[in-house]
Amino acid sequence: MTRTRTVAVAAMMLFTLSGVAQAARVGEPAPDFTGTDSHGKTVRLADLKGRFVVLEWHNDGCPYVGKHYGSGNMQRLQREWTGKGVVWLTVISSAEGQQGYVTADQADAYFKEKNGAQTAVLLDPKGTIGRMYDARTTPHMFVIDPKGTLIYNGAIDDKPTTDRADVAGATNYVSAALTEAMSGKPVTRSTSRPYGCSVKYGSTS
Amino acid sequence: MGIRSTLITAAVAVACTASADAIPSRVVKGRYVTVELVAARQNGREVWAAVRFRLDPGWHVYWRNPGDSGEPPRIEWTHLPRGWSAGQIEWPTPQRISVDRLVNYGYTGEVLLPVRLTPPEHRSGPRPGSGDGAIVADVRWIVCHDVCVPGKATVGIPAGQIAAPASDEWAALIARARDSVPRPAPKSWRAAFREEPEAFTVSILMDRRAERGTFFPTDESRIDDAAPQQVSVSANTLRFRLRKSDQLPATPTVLRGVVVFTSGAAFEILAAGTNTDRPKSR
Repeated sequence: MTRTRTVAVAAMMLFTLSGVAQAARVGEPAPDFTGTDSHGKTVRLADLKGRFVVLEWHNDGCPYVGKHYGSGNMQRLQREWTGKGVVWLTVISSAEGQQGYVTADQADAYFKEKNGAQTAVLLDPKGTIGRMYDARTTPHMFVIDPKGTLIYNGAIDDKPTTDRADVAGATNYVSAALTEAMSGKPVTRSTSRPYGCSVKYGSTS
Repeated sequence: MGIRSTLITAAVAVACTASADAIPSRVVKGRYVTVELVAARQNGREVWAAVRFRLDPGWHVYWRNPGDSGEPPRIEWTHLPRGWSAGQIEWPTPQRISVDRLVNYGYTGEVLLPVRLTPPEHRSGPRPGSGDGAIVADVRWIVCHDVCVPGKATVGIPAGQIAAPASDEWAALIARARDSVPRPAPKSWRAAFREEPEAFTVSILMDRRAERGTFFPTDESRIDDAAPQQVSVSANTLRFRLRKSDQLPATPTVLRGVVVFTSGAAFEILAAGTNTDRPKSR
């Protein structure tokens, strides 16, 4: 009886703690983070106030990421939106030894080969930024407005498959959110279930 | 909104003939999974087909709601005997599968996804066990361990095989799969939920002494799948406190789910919202 009670109390504490921890909730300030990009530069979200920011969780071994990079879709989006002043950060939270983990040099080589147009690639092997945002899948997309408010948290689009043929006809939630917000309109679709492979935080989490 | 396409389109089959040569393999070995089509009679008159997934150890496929990541298998019936139609997948009770910080709902080892096939009203189509009819399905899935591998296969079976001796074994497999599909909750049960800023509290008043269980949400993005579920029992009432999903689109009017009791029994419940007309601040 006591043991059951102890377990129940522990579970309740875990439950409460997870509620108290920073979560990335639409309509609230996006959690501030400090990360290191693949050139060794420090990137702080707070420094990006005044700009729209997109966070894109990435794992080059995940077939859902492969769908968007293999079709050129992700690179197109990066090019289009950085061209309009958006800061696009690709975040890799795979732990060392896990699928998707890359060194800074490997990241640079990969995104050069893929013709990536993101502003920077953040290497987050300890999963600090990932956990702050509760990034669950690759891809998992977040859009932050110039005031630092999170305006989108979810899937990249409405076709949760690995099929490249599904890219063309999909509704892209990131583009929709940015288009609406940039014209001063409220974001109609501010959340959706992110789809993809699980982020490979590794057993140290 | 994105309704995951796990449902079979209940389309009436095109009248096409399929010769023995043209029917795809019944069994296809994919990466980390072998996919197989079976079909048999059930309860005398009913005809059922099922796609069987036999998974390598450590690998899993997903339930209708995959949870934090992944994607449910999809079955498209590209050929049925003339006039026949296929129903929806009857999903066996899922398991809760933890992958690091995430929780998925799915199956390990082996799972069969049964589908009822309905013959045409006018009885002019091929009878099960006769003729040139064939049952062909395009199956797509993603199978995961710590990493994920998508797969697809076209599997087929001549309609004549439904009455063949081998179908006895298939009938038993299908029956067992159908037995493991959660049953609708008894009509005497009352299920309701209250919405709080951080969580839903689901209460189920049962017709018997309440037992502890696990809640599997049918719909995505309602609850935080990875958060521990607070479960309590008191007399005939089972209560869950379930942290809300960060991607909850709007206040739901109902919460659908499957409750799997520690004894293994599984029931579908539909909980009505009791305080959901008031706006909630988060």
